[in-house]
Amino acid sequence: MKKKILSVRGLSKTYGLGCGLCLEVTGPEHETNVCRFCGSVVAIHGVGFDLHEGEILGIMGESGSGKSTVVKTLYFDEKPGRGEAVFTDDAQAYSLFEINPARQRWLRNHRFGMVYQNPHLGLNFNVSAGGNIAERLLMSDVAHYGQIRKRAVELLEKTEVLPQRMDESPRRFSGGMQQRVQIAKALATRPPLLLLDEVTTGLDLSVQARILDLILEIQRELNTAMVVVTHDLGVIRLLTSRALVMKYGRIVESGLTDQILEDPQHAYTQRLVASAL
Amino acid sequence: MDAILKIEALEKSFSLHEQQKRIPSCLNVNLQVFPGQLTALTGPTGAGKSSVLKCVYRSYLPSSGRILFRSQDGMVRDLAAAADSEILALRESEIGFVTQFLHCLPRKTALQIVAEPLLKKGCSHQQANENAGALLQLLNVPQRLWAVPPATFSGGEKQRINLARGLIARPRLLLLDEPTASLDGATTDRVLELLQIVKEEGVAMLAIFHHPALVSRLAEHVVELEQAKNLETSLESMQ
Repeated sequence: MKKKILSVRGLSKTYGLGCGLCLEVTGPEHETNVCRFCGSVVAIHGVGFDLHEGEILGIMGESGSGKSTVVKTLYFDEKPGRGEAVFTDDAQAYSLFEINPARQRWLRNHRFGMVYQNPHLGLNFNVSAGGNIAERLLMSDVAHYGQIRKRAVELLEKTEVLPQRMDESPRRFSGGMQQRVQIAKALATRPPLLLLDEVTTGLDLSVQARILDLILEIQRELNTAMVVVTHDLGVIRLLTSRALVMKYGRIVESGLTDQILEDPQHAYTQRLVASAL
Repeated sequence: MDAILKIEALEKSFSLHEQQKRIPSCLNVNLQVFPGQLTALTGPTGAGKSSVLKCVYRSYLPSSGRILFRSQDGMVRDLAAAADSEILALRESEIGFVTQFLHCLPRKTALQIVAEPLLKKGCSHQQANENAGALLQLLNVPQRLWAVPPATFSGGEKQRINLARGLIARPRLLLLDEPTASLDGATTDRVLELLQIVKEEGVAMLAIFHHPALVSRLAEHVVELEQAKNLETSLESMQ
């Protein structure tokens, strides 16, 4: 049995003050995530899952279903309202939302990688592509200039970005290239956990294909565990072995990816699968 | 000899929420599969033969019944109730599935697709490729096709790639859904010889064959499924 590296339980996040009734009047059965009494938005509620090493878990659902919020809380971009997440690494367990901010930053810089849909969130456009990677290496205590440059070249080669262009700003790169620089940056510290938020959305099909191939290659070579957030069933089918289906902030179904696509149980998943091209 | 797989009172039906219908697929299926032997599923189209295989592989969630699988370590698990991660681990090491159709990653060559299960088991690239090549040779897949993605292959070629991929890692239990459906006579014979060899090595098989002749050539046990009766019920009347 593969080792469990992440265990999430009861993850919840509400935007707004919240009242005692928020949870009772939101969710899939109410077709909304906005509380009609206090106007708070229940972004996610009661989300739980396990992730094993080297495994790719998919989170699918339409926009507004809360799927991005899940990975943003895990990457400490947002504070969850409630819930716990335990990350296990080298036999040490970290309770993500209880450790102090310095420890959280350390995990984020050393052990987690994140790739956003919008490259502006993941990359600093005021420094070069190589500089972006160097930044992450510096944060993880690699300080030797030659070493940093060598590792940056390696990473860019791996993600098929011409190393000759490493001194240019990512601003001048195409969308697909920006995404690949983001992946190179995320991989710089060889993190055991990679979070991918709609990374192929909005890219040309041929560019999408190469990024998906790259993700699978990374999984195979580095045994990186990943959480892939997407509304694209094709991406789910291609990349993941297990998946969660979210709607209005709640998980409505979870299971093996082929089971969810071939024998969906929940009415919403059946509609979703039936409407795929 | 102990059975490796024992299915008890398996039932599968689909609840289609949009149409408010419940469609039965297979009902009260009972069977056993033994190491080194083949159990054939027969019955008319629509009797739910493929559904039984998919329930064992958990591509379908069984509606009721038990699917008891005895794994390498001697432990008996109910596949109908096992955790997803347990199923994934068993698929990687013990249970293989060969369907009529090749579902694989685009952009991968035939050789890579066949070799992959060995790589997942920790085999070296070179060893995996060598074994994959040998198997493709045995199945009469011309060498010029090995380095090509199978998207453009004929039905029979795809099917042989699929078969090779399913057999290469020698799963302890092999599920076969019409593995020779689009093959000509000579190639079918090749496949049957190969299945016979694999069976003699101790692999247990649960299979669906279109032709009765194949069943009589390979099967030690035959289980006939009946057409599920009263085809649909409305979901409301069930509640």
